[in-house]
Amino acid sequence: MSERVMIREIDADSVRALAKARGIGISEADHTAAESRAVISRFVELAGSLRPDEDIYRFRRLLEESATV
Amino acid sequence: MTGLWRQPVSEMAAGIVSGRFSAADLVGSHFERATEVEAAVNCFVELLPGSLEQAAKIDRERATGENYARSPLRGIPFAFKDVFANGREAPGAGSRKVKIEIEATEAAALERLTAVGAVPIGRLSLDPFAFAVTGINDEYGDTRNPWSPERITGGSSSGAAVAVATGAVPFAIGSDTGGSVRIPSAFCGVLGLKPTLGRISKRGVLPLSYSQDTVGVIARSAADIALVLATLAGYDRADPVSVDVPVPDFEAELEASRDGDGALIGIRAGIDRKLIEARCEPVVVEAIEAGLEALTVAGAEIVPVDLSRLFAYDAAASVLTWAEALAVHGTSLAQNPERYPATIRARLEIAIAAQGTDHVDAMRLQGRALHELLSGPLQEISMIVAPTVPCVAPLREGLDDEDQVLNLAGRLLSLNRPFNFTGVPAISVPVGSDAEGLPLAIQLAARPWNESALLRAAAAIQDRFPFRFADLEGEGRKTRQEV
Repeated sequence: MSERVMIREIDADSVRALAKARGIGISEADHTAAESRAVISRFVELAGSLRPDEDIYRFRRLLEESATV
Repeated sequence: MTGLWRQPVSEMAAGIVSGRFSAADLVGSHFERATEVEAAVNCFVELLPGSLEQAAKIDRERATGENYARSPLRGIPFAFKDVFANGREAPGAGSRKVKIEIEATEAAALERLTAVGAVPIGRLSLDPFAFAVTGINDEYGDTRNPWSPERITGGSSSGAAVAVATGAVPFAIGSDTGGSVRIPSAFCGVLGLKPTLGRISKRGVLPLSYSQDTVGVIARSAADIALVLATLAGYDRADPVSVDVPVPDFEAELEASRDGDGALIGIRAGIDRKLIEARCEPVVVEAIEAGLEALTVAGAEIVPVDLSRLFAYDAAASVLTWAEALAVHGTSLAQNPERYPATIRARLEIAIAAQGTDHVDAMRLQGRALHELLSGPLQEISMIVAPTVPCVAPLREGLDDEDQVLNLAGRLLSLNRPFNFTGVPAISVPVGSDAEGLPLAIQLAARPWNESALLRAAAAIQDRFPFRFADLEGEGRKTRQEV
């Protein structure tokens, strides 16, 4: 299993492998519950539509600029 | 003196200034009420006995004129969610088993309030680490809903909403990452404001999601929130999220809008009825319509708006919260996983699969979401009308099941988190109650930094739905028809 498992590949095994690598003992919770899968699926779709020039600073810039409107 | 706790904050302040009663009388009255409330609903982690001495000191300063400056909050008691460092100890954060150390010795919000003479009388209960929305806490015991003890309060600022609803304090401060101020406010019948991200310093507040955490205010009226917000708002270079923007005179703006009729003339409020009807129970849909009527009476124009794009970003807000919460708790979780409640541990474990690029993408989406909101709906309208919660406070029974808790959390958070993700201000306002007397609520959101518009609208709604105390004997539990 790749150590760069992305959230979009989430399954019980990948969570356990990553947890082990970080020294975290994993519980018996169902990490692939429908609710989690739905969130991840929607997130992957949103993230996949980002353009390279949409940077992480845009949010802060817009928030500050909106004070002058 | 008994019964002082029933007054609005402005009348409490006027009473102290005029000498009708002292700060010690006022704080004593609240301390007595808080003790009574605590025995019934378990909303305090600790009542602070030193508050009576602080009040006496304020009275001495008033008598001598020494160090005495007038402030609308001088001598006014309040309480704070146990996520604020208070100068004596780290916040308890709703867990005795896990301690997350933070650097600040006193939270900026507490510094600002005590600097003007407000008197903290207690630390308030919460969901563990502010990372759940039910008010259920196995270590400290659940906070009980004063309107119906068999129902949850909502969270995570559960104690704050209950303390205000019952009159233990006239206002409380909490934190809101995905609805944690607004959700319990809705279930307990009080007002809860989440200001614009960066409006209030969160230095000294236990973090959950660095990119979304916001200090919020819970109170009984829009006017009381305006007074508190005026004290709390302001730039703090020690908080990297704080933004250096002008702070309006919230109280004066609210008062000015109340002169004459038509406080909301010029306000265009947008509503997405399709979204509301799809997500909410009929009693909530009906309550929102009643809230719209109140806005219309005050002069607001109601227009349809499509909010499906905004609410789709809830998934990105979730991932952002997961990743940042794991950054806060990762070391502690690795060392002592068994000390975490199962539902919170499960959410943190999901975050393990979120890698750096996912966090970056979630932050990039935050910018896109705000851009779309500002250039879309909030270009055409001044205010969004939405539900705070899709139902009345759910029954506690059955919520020991992890799946049910997580499912409920998803339903509650999805209506609130988009406003944290985009950083815009949002307020939950009571709109009466259902046939059993359980509180109903409406949520309003506005452009960044426009809390004043929200307070004006909240005040207009309160003209139709005045605040009612949740009397511990159940006397306050009346139906909307009786209001």
